[in-house]
Amino acid sequence: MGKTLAFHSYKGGTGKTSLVVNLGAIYAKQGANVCVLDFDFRAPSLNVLFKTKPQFWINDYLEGKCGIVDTLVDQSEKFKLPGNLWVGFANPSLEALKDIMSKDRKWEVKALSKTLSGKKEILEEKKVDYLIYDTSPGAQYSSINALAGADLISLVMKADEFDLEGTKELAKGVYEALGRKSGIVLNKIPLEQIAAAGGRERFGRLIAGDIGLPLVGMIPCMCELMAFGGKSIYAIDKPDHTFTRSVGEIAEAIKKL
Amino acid sequence: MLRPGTTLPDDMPLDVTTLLSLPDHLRKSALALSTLKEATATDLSRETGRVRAVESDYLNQLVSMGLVKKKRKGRDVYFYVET
Repeated sequence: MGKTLAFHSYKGGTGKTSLVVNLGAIYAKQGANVCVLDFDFRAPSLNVLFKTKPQFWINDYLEGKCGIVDTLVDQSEKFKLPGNLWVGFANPSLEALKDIMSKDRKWEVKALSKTLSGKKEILEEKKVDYLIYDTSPGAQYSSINALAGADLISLVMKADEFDLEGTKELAKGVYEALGRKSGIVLNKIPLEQIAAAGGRERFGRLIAGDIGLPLVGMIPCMCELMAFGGKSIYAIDKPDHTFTRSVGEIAEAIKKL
Repeated sequence: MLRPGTTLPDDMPLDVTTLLSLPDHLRKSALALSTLKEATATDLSRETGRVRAVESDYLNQLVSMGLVKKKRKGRDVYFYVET
């Protein structure tokens, strides 16, 4: 049975989407069967990066208009990847965004059930090795639904006080309560702080001490990523880039968890 | 934290916020049932890896709390989450 990973954060702009897409591409480059699902219904963005308009959105699946597998579009041929890279997209139209905001708790019960059974279906039917959810930041229903079905929750955060305090709350109130294995990815860390003697260990101690979760990996801050965000998948276009190497280290660390 | 034996209002849905308030042992059953949609205690025990009698007890606790419904089909009792 494949591994289900959910990437989440307290605040937006921590780099979840870039990490999820590149992680999926790295595993697919290694020959694994990967599925990436856009569960960020408040700000969908995978359609921009993959330049794909699917026949069905994940929103359609949650509404009972199609099966979960009908929402998946394989990107492996386009990027010449040895493994499959299935992607399920969230609908970015304003109408869909308004619709998702108007849902009541009864609808969320159905959405939870469909999220969990959809995960099972993808793992069984597509023989996926890694199912990866990109989620909305904060305690949104759709995000927690995805986290509830994950084997591993990875929190992506910057090392500032805003993120640290909010992440502590999420770790205690959500991740611990769900009883899922969880870890932290630190993003946008000044390169010199990572490269400094004992830098990695220092951040590891800080995270373990403050949040009580292990550090899965670190990604240095690179202005260039902001300029190319949404235009390029570094793991495919720039395999030797520092960003790709950092995500590669995270991919290996996740395999061992 | 919701304790076993607590009776909740009829319209209390089993969504993630309710799930997060459940004790660990009941949350595991509720999550498994949300995945299977409708299941017997035997089906659930396969999903959770716990023995059938234990699973049956936990499911009935969820029924008493008003979060899960049950119905009889022939000799089998099926549990489900009303959606």
